Amino acid sequence: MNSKIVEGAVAQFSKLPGIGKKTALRLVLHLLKVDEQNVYDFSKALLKLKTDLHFCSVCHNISDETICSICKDTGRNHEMVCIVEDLRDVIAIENTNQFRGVYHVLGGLISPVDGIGPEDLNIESLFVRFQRNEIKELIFALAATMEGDTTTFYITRRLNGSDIKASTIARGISVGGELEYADEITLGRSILGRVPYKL
Amino acid sequence: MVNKDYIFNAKFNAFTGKNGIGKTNMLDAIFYLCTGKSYFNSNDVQLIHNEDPYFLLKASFIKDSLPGDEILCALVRGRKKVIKKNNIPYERIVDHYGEYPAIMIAPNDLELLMGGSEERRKWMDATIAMYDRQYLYHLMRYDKALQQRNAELKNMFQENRNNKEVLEIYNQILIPLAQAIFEKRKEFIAEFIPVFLALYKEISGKEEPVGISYVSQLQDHPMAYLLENKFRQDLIMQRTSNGTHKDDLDFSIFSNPIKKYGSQGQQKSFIFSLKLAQYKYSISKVAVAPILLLDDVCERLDESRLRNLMRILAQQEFGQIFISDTSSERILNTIPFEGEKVNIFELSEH
Repeated sequence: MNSKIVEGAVAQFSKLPGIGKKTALRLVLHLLKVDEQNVYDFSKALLKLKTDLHFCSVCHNISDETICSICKDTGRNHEMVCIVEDLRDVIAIENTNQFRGVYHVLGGLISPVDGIGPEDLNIESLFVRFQRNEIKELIFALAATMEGDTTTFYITRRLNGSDIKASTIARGISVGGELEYADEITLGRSILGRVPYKL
Repeated sequence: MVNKDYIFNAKFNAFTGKNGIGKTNMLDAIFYLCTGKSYFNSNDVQLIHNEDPYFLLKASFIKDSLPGDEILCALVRGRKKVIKKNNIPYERIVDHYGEYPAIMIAPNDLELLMGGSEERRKWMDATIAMYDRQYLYHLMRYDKALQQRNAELKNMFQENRNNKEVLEIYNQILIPLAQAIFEKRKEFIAEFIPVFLALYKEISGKEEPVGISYVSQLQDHPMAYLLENKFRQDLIMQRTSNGTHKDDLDFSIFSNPIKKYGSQGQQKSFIFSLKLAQYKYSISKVAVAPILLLDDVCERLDESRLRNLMRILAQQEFGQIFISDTSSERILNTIPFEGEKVNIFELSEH
């Protein structure tokens, strides 16, 4: 390449997840073609992510202000807290329209292999919320993996002795799923975790 | 690209031809279709022929003379491998394991006797997992938890940290899994030994006292005790020194390790008996008789042992058999099967 400026921009783009050198070049060439105003707006939006965006001081969800719109909403049940790994899970659960409690975003899961211990996650602030007696019920909505289980295990262990109600989201047959296509492990868990049928 | 189709005999099939013509490869292709992996090479990309862009295997299985499943295995360079059953791809390749059991007997099996304990654990696990999906799940979870525990030990050591909160969680996960794996292996070996002893006698034609015993640290102490008591040692070594991942099998002859005291002939008889016993044992556990694949057996056994082996294979309970040999003539001379029960495929360059 004979432009250091283009080269530099390509290098920056290719640092993004899922973007290789070729895609990066395509994006850069596209930006060269569009109006200057567009590029200016684009870079401003990026900068704002760092300068203006906050993480909610209560639940660590992203927020435009110090406290996020979910935590501010007085119509929601603030005694019921759903524990999730990251922002994507908040969006997914919000899209269900089934949950009217609030969240606590851990920012990851315990995994020594990846060098992530409890102190690297937003766990202490969760206990601050407990101590303030703000929470009556916890719902763990974490991945059904060893990392998810370990994190649930860790938090509930530390809760031992308190009278907080704790549960995990159900794991088993997906809605509309056929039994014969479910693997044995999932099916086995579905039977162990069966729910009473009410008429 | 080379493309070949074969229709096999329900009982006995042989691939013959010169060295390097691809006999073992044929057996491995069948093994792959049955189990979802190669018997000889864990690196799937290396299974693609020379510069070809992909490999593709397809089989129509027949169960009790009725059409069974269509299995397809394919790997395109640079992509993930795909296994389909009746055109539906498996989400997890491991789910195919055990659908069509297959047992391979090949020259490198001697590693089971001569190699490290990992070989013997792998063999034992593959045998049990063939009929027990829960066991396979326990093993996978155990490995995962062990990795995490070892990483946590390493982190604790490097950070000079004494807080065992996270380590404790992995202990709690490992304890019931280790106990379940231990019980399953113990049960398997106890049931397996009589099958093995009977076959050894038949193949060697001798009354030599041979033995298999299961060795595990869990025989002396429960897993919880081992993890608790070896914690200091584990921390310094930065890995978990005790558990079912250290289990082994002792193979003996006249109460001495066969690895050191057995003659070559005795070792061969031992290994053939072990694999055939694995076959017989599997039949008692799964609904379908496994497919038996014999790579280059004629070269490796003397005439009396070979004849004993063939006599065993002719028994009713053995299902479909595939064998490889350089000479069609020798196959015809040694097999105890009648004409309509045999198909011989002479492999050539074209």
